[in-house]
Amino acid sequence: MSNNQEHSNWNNWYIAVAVVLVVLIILFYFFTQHFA
Amino acid sequence: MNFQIADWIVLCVTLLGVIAFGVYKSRTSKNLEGYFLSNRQMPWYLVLLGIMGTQASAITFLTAPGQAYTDGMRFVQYYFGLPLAMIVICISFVPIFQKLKVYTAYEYLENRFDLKTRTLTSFLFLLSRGLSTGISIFAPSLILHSMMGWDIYVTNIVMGGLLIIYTVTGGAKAVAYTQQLQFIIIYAAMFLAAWYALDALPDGVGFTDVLHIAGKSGKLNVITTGTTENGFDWNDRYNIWSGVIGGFFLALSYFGTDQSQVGRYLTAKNTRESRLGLLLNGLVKVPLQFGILLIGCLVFAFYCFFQAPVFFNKAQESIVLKSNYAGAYSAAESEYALLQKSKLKTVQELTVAVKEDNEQQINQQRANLQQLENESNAIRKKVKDIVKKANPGSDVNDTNYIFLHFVGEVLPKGLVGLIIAIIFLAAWGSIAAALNSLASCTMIDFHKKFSKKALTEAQEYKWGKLYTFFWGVFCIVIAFFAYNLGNSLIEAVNVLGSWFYGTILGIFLVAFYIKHIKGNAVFYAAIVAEIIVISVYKMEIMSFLWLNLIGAVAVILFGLLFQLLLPVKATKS
Repeated sequence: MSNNQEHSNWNNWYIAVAVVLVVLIILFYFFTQHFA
Repeated sequence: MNFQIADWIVLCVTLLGVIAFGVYKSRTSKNLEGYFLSNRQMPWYLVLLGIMGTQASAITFLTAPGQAYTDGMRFVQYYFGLPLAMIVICISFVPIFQKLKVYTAYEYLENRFDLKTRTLTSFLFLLSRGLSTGISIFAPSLILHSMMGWDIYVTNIVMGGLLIIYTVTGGAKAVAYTQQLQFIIIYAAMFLAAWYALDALPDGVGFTDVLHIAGKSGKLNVITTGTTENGFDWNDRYNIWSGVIGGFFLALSYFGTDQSQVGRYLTAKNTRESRLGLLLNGLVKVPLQFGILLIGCLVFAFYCFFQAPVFFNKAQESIVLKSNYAGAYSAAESEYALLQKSKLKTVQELTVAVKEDNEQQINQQRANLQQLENESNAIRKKVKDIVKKANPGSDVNDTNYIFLHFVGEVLPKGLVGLIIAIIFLAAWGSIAAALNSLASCTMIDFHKKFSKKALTEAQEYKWGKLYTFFWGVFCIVIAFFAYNLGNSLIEAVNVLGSWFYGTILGIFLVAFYIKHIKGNAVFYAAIVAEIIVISVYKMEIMSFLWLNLIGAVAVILFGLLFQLLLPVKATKS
């Protein structure tokens, strides 16, 4: 695997982790609102 | 707590099984790289479990459900900054640590700055981690002492002593393999506890009803903004902003600069395995913590249907009942029991209203529940004041006892033993990693650095084992002192950690990102930052989560300033 490819692979991982966090926060927000 | 033969059998078999597994898996090459870093051969999943096992202490599993019971689920926001910190560590910290093949994080600081910065940072780590590991032994021992009536000294020795066997014998490899087993047992036991909590609810009350009861009582406050009518409350501990920003800096300093964590991902085969372990930790930590807090909400719902004790620490309660305050305590207890009857009626009506989708009734019962919760908190506060008067100097925070009290009441024979076992296992996971890292810093940053005598590989290995043993004994001794000195020592140790973390992080951030700042500038900046952090703490103007950010930013700003002001010659080391 070339350096560029590897770099881009890791960038995808970083974006995925950040996106999961944002999705979780949104889900938690609706969870809080729904049962309050 | 009713601890029966079956519980003793489960407890002993689980603990001895983990020790045997650790010793069996501990065969490694007899040199420092094998002993402290498992020959840098660990796959990502062991790195992940190591990172998680090191972070979650016994108190994590005891406090979190109790925290949800008393304060709601907003504690989960404390972990929101963690995934972002994992990304930064993977981008900046991991490649450099792996490329330089360091044993400790602080070794890198000598390459980048100078020996005095490395030694100072390593010393601060040894001081705060050594003391806090002693408290990690003491805190769960005290809970077991109070709940089970076990002798505190024997519990301390068992808690801290047994793990010394496999930590000294097998080093980092034994720590990693036992953490794997500990993780499986701990989460399986927590899942079973949640299952039994649901099962113990009255017929016709299901999981959704529990969520409505907890939610309408204000316990499912997962997202809070920390704002009041007077604007943002800087003293509010857990809200989305302190969680994302403060939590980010806390996680960055803990995972990026604390050797007990750095030592886990340095055991990885290569940069890829380290990164995978860290990133997956970022993905799973928040949902797992959410799950543990949700168990606290199940416990809360359970105690809406069944009588809850007004104060969960039974050892403290028995002291009060023998004092002049026994009458006042019993009166408050009766008042609480009366409140429980109203609570039961309200949750029953709420459950019916939710099933019928009767909006007006739901609103009415929500208001009633919140009113009852306020009254309940007022009675509990009154009780805590009584406990404080009856036994001055005692810890009136009973959060850590809530989950164990529930376990003792609801869980069947054998499973109580398993829950007690997870207290030991969770404690061992973090203490073993801490001992391993304390020994590696002592050996690498001090012994090898300052000893004039050259050592053979076998001698280095022997010293590594000796230091691990020494730190194990040191931490048990601290645990003994903690019992004699009480809360003052525990508080002092917690404060000590929050004083140093931000500054240490600031030193590393300068090292990675601001290349023109040299050794002397960062060294003096660290000292000024430390004074600022301690001053802010003393002024009590903000929650401790912000101290990490202040320390880190102060090192960077003063580092830049000193680099400008100090003569060029003086900034270089």
